[in-house]
Amino acid sequence: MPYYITLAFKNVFRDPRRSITLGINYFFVSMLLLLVSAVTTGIKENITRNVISSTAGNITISGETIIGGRTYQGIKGYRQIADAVREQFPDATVLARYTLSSAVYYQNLSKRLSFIGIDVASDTGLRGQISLADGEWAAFAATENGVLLPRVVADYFGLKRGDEVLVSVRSRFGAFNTGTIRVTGIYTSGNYFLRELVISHFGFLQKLDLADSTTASRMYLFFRDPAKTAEYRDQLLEKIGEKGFVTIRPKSNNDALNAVAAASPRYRVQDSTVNQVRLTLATADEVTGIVSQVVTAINSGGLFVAAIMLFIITVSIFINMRMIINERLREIGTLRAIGAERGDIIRLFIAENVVLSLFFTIGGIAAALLVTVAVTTSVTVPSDGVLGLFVNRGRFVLEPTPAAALLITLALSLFTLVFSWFPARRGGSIPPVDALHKIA
Amino acid sequence: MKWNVFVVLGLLLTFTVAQEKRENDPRAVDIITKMESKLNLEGTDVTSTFSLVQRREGEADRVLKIRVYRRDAAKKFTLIFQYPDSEKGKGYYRDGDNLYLYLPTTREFVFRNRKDDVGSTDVRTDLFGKLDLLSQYRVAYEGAQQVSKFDCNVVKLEATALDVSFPVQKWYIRKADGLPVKVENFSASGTLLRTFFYIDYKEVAPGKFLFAKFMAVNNLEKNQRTFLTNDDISGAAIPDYTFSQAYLEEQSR
Repeated sequence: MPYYITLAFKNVFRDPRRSITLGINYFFVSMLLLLVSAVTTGIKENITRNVISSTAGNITISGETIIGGRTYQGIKGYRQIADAVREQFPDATVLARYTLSSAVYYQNLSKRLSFIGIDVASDTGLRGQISLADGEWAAFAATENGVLLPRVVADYFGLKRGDEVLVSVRSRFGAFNTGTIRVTGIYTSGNYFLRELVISHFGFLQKLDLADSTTASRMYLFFRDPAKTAEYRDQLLEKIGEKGFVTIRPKSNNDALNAVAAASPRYRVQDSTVNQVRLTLATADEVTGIVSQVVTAINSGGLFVAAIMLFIITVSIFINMRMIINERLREIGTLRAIGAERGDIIRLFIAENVVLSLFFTIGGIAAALLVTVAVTTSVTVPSDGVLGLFVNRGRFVLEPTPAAALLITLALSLFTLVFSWFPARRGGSIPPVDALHKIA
Repeated sequence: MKWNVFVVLGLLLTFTVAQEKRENDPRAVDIITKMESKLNLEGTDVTSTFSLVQRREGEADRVLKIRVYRRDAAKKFTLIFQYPDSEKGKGYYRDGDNLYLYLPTTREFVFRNRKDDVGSTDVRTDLFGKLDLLSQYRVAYEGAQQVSKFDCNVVKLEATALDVSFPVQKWYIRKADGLPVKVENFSASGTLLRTFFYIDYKEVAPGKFLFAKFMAVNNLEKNQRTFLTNDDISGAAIPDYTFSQAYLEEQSR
């Protein structure tokens, strides 16, 4: 190990007050950056996970059926599409669901609610996402018009298990229809996207919406290797297209989100000769694309604050080094007199700053990890509250990654190296005679 | 063998009766045709201002004012919201079966089919246009009944296609002048959803009538009613340009 590294290491502890004054900035910058990274990674992972386990698949197929130029919501011929998917990907899980929005009336109270209809025999994914506070899944499965109500909805209406409620829906054709639902269970869920979703039967919602038995609202495809979803989507666009359906790739993340989640999809006027089923195949990344935008915005905010702190560090480095060089002229002269080269002096000052930055950066990262552990284990937030989107089962999701910690450490070290070089050059350029002479 | 003949004859008879039931009742057709000839304003353009007051239990009244331009001969109308300020500039343009909602905030036209709730009230946009009940419904005469002090014929309508607002309707049509006084609107499963009361009419041209006072009662929401009055009625010709998307856009500026 070159002697100047050992010397630099010792110099860090020579003036603790000065080291702490400079190092505290590294501490807070690294802590801030890792926390921002943990928050944004957590948000993205949490939302994607919750969306995929409730209201989307690795690929979500949504669409509209155009009959004689008039557009109706929903996918007619969903079984043919399921067959085409299974033909292409025998291992894929294909789920068809029926969704609609309906006004619910009970004892002078009314509320518009979102319903999701599942085939209870094959679609059991939601079962693991909810916790039944009252009622049993078997009773729900056995009752054609049975529903599982979120606790907040049940509390709003004052409903309990066994109650029957009138629902009114404007069907996909435009005509109003009404029906009666029976509360077979009341649930709570840590998944934000299920917080107000009424779980119902596929067939019941299909009838309520006056749809025929070949129509579904959406289809969710799950693959063993979700990393290849984009590639699979390309294959499916072609495969399903061969079966006579018009397949569409969303032009933007907003298009994907609208296709999957829009309550009132917007249609275009069609010629009366148009008869087709148009399908939009959106990947989970596209559906949650809006989250990436939010994450980018948060990251930008964090980087902006970090940039201000780094500017302060730069100024501090310049001032500190100027003072240090003036204070250590005797040392510089002595080192040069016993044979140290100009470059050795420069490297000594740079190494001193880099070692200092490493100490405090590592300290900042450790502090960020402690904060993460403290927040994720001790803070509980209701999943149906305003912060529900950021929590899973009532806990904030913060995911600091080793890669982020390493990147922050390397970036700050490199930054220190670059900005120490300029003042260090001054120290190195003082001739030994001048250095010794100026002490007197 | 004898039993088989009876079974076949029975089935045939049932089928014939069922078929007859599915046919339009001529008496009902006559009543509806006469009513439409009075309510459809083919011979003239009509301009008026509708004031809608929506009353909900426990809430403040909601008031909307809408200028209506109507040309039944071309199956067109234009509605422009004038009040409140939050809705000002919003409007509808109907051309045949196509209905466009104009949103001034985003300056875009949203395509709808011919049905839409006006400003989230219980009044549907199809109330403002030309009636064409016989092309959408099968009609049956259901006898006579008294509504308030009026003797009325009752005609039941069942939709032949599901792209109507209310799949089942009962129209109570005044015997004296052939104008409706009450319409009960049912869901596909037969639940009474809304009841419309035509309280007063104004004759806008000889033999042509436009309702001047109207009330929609929401039968599912207790004590939710929408009152509608029709003022400033004029039969003057309306420029063609009024029936265009460009006009709606221009009015919102």
